[in-house]
This record gives sequence, C-alpha cells and structure tokens, in this order.
Amino acid sequence: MDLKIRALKSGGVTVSLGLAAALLMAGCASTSSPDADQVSEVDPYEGFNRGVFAVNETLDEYVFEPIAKGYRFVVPRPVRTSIGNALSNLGEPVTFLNDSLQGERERAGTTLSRFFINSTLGVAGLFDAAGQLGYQRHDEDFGQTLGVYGVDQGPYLMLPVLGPSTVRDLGGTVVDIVTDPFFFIVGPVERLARGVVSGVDTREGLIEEIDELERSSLDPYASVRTIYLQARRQAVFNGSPPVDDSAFDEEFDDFDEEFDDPAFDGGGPAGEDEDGQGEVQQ
Amino acid sequence: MIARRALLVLASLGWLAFAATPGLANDAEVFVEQTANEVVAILSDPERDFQARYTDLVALLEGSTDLETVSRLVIGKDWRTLDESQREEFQQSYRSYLLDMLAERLQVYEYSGETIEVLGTRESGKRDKVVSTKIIAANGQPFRVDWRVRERDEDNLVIDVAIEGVSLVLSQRSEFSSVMQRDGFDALLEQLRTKS
Repeated sequence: MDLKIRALKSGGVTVSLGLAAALLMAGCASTSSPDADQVSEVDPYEGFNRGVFAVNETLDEYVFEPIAKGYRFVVPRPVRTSIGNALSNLGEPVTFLNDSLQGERERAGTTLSRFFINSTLGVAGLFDAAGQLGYQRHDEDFGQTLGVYGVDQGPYLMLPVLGPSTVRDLGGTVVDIVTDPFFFIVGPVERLARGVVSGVDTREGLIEEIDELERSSLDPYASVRTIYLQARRQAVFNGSPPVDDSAFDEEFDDFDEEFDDPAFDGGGPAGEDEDGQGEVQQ
Repeated sequence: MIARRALLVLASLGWLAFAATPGLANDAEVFVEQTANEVVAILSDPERDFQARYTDLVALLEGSTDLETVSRLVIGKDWRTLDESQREEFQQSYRSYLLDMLAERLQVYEYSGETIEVLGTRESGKRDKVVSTKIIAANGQPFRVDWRVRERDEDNLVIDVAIEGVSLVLSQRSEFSSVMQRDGFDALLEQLRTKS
C-alpha cells in the first residue's frame, strides 16, 4: 500500500507552487458554504472534493488511463522498471532530508547509501543496486515530517489531477518541491518532462488497483479517501502507529451486552495498547 | 508489479488465509502460520483448476472467518438502527459480494511463490489478537499483512485484515456508511447486489 500512496503522492512533486497555492485557496474558499448534510470532521469540503473527483475520473478515463496502458503496451517491463528506479532515485534527497528532520538516523543513512550506490553502481539510478545490497527503499516527505511533529492532518482535499491529499500534506508537497535540489538544477523543460514521466509511471503502476477499485467499490470516492488517510497514518508512523482499537470494540454491538459497560473499557483503547506499537519489528 | 498484483489478490484472499485448526484454537500465531500455509497449498497446487481453488478457498473462508461479526463491523454504529430482517439481508448480500470479489480476483491470479512469515502478535482492544505477518513474493517488495483474530466459542476466527496498515473492515465501513448516509440502507443493499 506504500506503493499506492507513493503513487498517489508522487505526482505532487511536479506541481508548480502557483498551482498548489491556487488549489489551497480553492479549498479554503469552499469552507464558506459547506453543505450541511455532508460536513464531516475529516472531510468538511466533501461536496467540493467530490466534484473534483468526478472531473479527475473523467480525465483519467479519456487521458491518463489510455496513456498508461499505451505506455505499458509499448515499453518493455525492464525499461519501465528502470524508469521507475531513476525517478525514485531523484526522490532520495527529499527522503533523506525528511529522514533527518524526523531524527531517523538509521533510515537517513540507508537513504544516503541508496542515493550514492544507485547513482554510481546503479548507473544514474536506472538499477536498484542498493536494494540488492540490502538497502531497502522507503519514502519520507514533508507531510510525514509535519505529522511526526504532531501537526494535525487538517481537512481532506481532493486535488485536480494530483488526487487525494490533506491540507497538511499539500503544504508538505509544496515544501518537498522547494527542497528538491533537482528542481533547481534543471530547466523548465526537464522539470516538465520529469513530471510527465512520473505521472505516466505512477498511473501505469496503478492500472490494476484502480480497475479493481472501480469494479468492487460502491463509492470509489469514499474508498480512496479512507485508503489514503489510513495509509498516510501508517506512513507518518513508519508502519507502527499508536493503536486505536476502539473501532473494533463494537459499542454498537447489542449482543455482547457486557461490553457496553464502560467499566470493561479499562483505560480506554489508547491506554490498553500503549505497548503495542513497539512490538512488531519489521 | 508482481508484488502489487499479489497484494490485490491477497487483499481478497485475506479473508481466507486461515482455517480453523482444532487443538490450536488458543494460539493465534500458530493458527495464522499453519493455516496460511493451507492457502499457499491451495494456490500453488497446479493440479487444481480455478473451480477447485475457488471451492477450497470458500470452504477455508467459511471455517476461518467470523463473517457475522465482520458484517456488524463493516456497518459500524448504524447496526443498531437495523432491524432483524435488514441485518439478515445485509449479511447475505455482503457474503455474496465478498465471494464474488474473491472469484473475480482468483480468475486473474497466478501464484508466484509467495510465502508468509509471522512477525509477532499483540493484544488489541478488549479481546482481539493482531498477528503481524510479512508476505514475501518471489520478486517484488515484501509487504505487511496484519490479521485481527477474535475468539468465538473457543475457536480463533479472523475478523479483519490490514494490508500495509490499511484495514479492510475500516475501509468498507467508510465506504458503506458513505453510501448509507447519502442514499440510505436500501441503496446500500441494492448496490451490493449489483456488484455481486
């Protein structure tokens, strides 16, 4: 699912600051007239977001999906893998910065090693030589760093073309762009090329997932929202978020009467599981 | 790619990765490990065609998951507002929806050497155990699957599967409650049936 989120997110690297700012404004502007029926805590702009989602779906059907399928059909897998590797390699400096900002020394070391190994031995990132040597790749971005610092995710946002985000993650995306050295050392043509290739690569990797979602989901908008938010929570906590088990404690369950008694709650779900997060080592 | 495809299939097969194993009912971790191997045995058996795999996996699903509890969990707090016949209708529709998704995914799935490794277990909530596993594909990145196991009548039964932290129950709850809020319970039933 990390793949999915990386994919959902990575398009963000390409967005221009101006566009990002405009989107943020658009998101805020819609607060003034929220549809009372659809306001919820995580998604106060649901009406607006659903509109954007519908536009994205149409764009996807007629533009992005056909391009992605064409790309898969025309370009052989090893080449596609190398293109994906190269794009990942370009993302390592931002990952390194955020590993460091989060105080994750070991992960920062892994990222740095990956970048140097893959840029040299891996021929400008075309081959994941570092992965072969045991340095597994991971993603960090400034949205995750903000999350680690305790910044609330804020309202959920559905961005045109770029897909799901939150106010926090959109801000993070903007910082990711301006802290990316490759953004500054190349010209606008290269920047655009990287953005386009990255978008096509991302969409190609999601062909099965999105097909599947469209087939099985009763409400693709709601599915994308929950998957994005759950996966981002995992990403912020690098796979072991503080456990919230209350979702499974079935206060609504009327044939387990004894569990309705608050006395059975102990210290509440958060307290019960305080030792849960460190136990599972990956 | 392969890992991602496997992930898709396992998302649906997740429900099946366990069979009730007599004698080990109180050890969630052993239960997970042994029974996951049964899934692998079914999926990797070249003798079994699609129909045989499907039949065997459905049998595993029936024996290893608590679909009644899952049905309540995916509805969430609105469960209280449903009357007995609505609950039964939902359970039936939900079950055939799940089985249909399974069949669909099984049709395009090819076993590519996935193995499962148990990472550890934690107690969760009032009565659940969550067993963390890593699915390792022949090629492709490994990914984490967490199995939420709840005892019922002294049997361990699976009530949720989370892939890289994304829970099927919580995802479906979000999806279903969105449909219910917008269009009502009857629409939810109707749409479940259309998808099956």
